[in-house]
Amino acid sequence: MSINDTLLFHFVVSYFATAAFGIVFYAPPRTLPFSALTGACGYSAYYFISKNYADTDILACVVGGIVIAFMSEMFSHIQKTPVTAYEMPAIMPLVPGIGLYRTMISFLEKNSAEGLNHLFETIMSAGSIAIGLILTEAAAQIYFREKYRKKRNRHHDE
Amino acid sequence: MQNFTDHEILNISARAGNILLNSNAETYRVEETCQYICETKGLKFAEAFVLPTVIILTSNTEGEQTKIRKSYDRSVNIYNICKINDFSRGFKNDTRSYTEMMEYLKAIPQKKPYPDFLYFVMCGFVSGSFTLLAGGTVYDFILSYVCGLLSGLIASYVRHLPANTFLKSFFAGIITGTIALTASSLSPKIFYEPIIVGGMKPFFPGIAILSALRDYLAGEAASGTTRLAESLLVGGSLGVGVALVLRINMLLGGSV
Repeated sequence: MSINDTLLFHFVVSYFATAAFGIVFYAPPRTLPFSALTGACGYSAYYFISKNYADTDILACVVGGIVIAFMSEMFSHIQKTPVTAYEMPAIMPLVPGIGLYRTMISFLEKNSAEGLNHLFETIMSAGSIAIGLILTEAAAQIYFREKYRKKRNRHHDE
Repeated sequence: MQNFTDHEILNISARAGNILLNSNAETYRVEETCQYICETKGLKFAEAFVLPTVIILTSNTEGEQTKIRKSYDRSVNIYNICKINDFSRGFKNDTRSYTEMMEYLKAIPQKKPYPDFLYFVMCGFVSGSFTLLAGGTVYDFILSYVCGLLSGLIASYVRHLPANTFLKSFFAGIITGTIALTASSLSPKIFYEPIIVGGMKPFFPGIAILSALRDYLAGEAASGTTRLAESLLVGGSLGVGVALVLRINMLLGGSV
C-alpha cells in the first residue's frame, strides 16, 4: 500500500487544496481554516466510502454533500458569515473532474457507448452531491429561516 | 438618526446588490439583501427582481421609483460577499450619512485580502494537489503546478476582455493539454491523465453549478437555468481546449 492510498494523505492534501481554492476565490483569512477543514472532511468521507465499499459512488457523494453542508452551516452560525463562504471552496474537491475528462476522451476516440456511460456516471454523482447539500439546507431552513419565509410572501396579502 | 429619501435608500440597496452580483453570489441572496436594506430604513414595500446579469429594484410607494443596475464582469469573490453581509447586518444601527455610505460601498470592490501574485501561486497549488488526489506522483505535481501557474497568469491577463470566462478556460485547457502530452511523450514514467485532471480544476465551473442548484432550491428557476447553461458553456470550452490538443497530437501520430 503506497502512501497515495491512505486516508490521512487524502485528508491532508484536500485540506491544503481547499485552502488554496479559498485564496483563489478571495475568501477572507478568518474563514479560511474552517472552509479548508470542511472541504477535507467532506472529501475524506467521500473517499472512505467509495474506497471501502464497491459501487457506492452515489452514496459517497450524498454523504460528502451532507457533511460539507452541515459543517458550513455550523461554521457560518459561529462566525456570522454567509454559508457560501465555506461551501464554495469546500465543494470543489468533490466535483467530478475525472468523470468529465473520461467522457471527453471517450467521445474523442469515437467510443460513444463508453462516453455515454461516463457521462451518466458524472451527472449522477454531481446530482447526488447536490441532493446532499439540498437535504441539509432544507433541514437548516426549517430551523433557522422559517421567520424569513413568512415575511417573503407578505406582499401578496395586501 | 439620519433620514434618507426613497431615492437614496434605493441607491444604497442597488449598489450593495450590484457588488454581490459581481461577486457571483446566488440570486436569492442578492434579492434578500436588497429588500432587507430597503425595509430597515422604512421602505416597507420595496421589491427586488434579480437575474444573474441585472438587478431591478422598485419602491412600491407613492411616486414610485425604479432602479436598474446591470452587471457585466462577474467572478467569484467571497470577501465582497462577506463585507456586504456585514454591511446589511449593521445597516439598521448605522449612523453614517448617505455620501459616506456610498463612498464605503464604492471602496469595497477595490480592496483585496491577498496580494495579486498569490492568485497564480495558489492556482498552481490547486492544480498540483488535485493531481496528487487523482493518483499522480511528485513529478506530476510539479508539472501540474506549472500548468496551473501559467493558466492563472493568462486568466488574469484576459480579465478585461469580453467573454473572458470562456477565453480563460479555453486557454487553460490548451496549456494543460500541451504540457501534459509533451511531458508524457518525453518520459515514460509520467502519465498525462492526472496532470490534465488537476490542471483543469481551477477553471472548472463547479461554483456555477452549485449556485445554479441553490437558486433552483430557493425557487429562482430563471436564474438557475441561466447559470446552468453558462456553466455548461464554460465546461465545454475547457473540454474543447484539451480535446483540440489531443486531436492535434493524434494527427501528428501520437496515441491517446
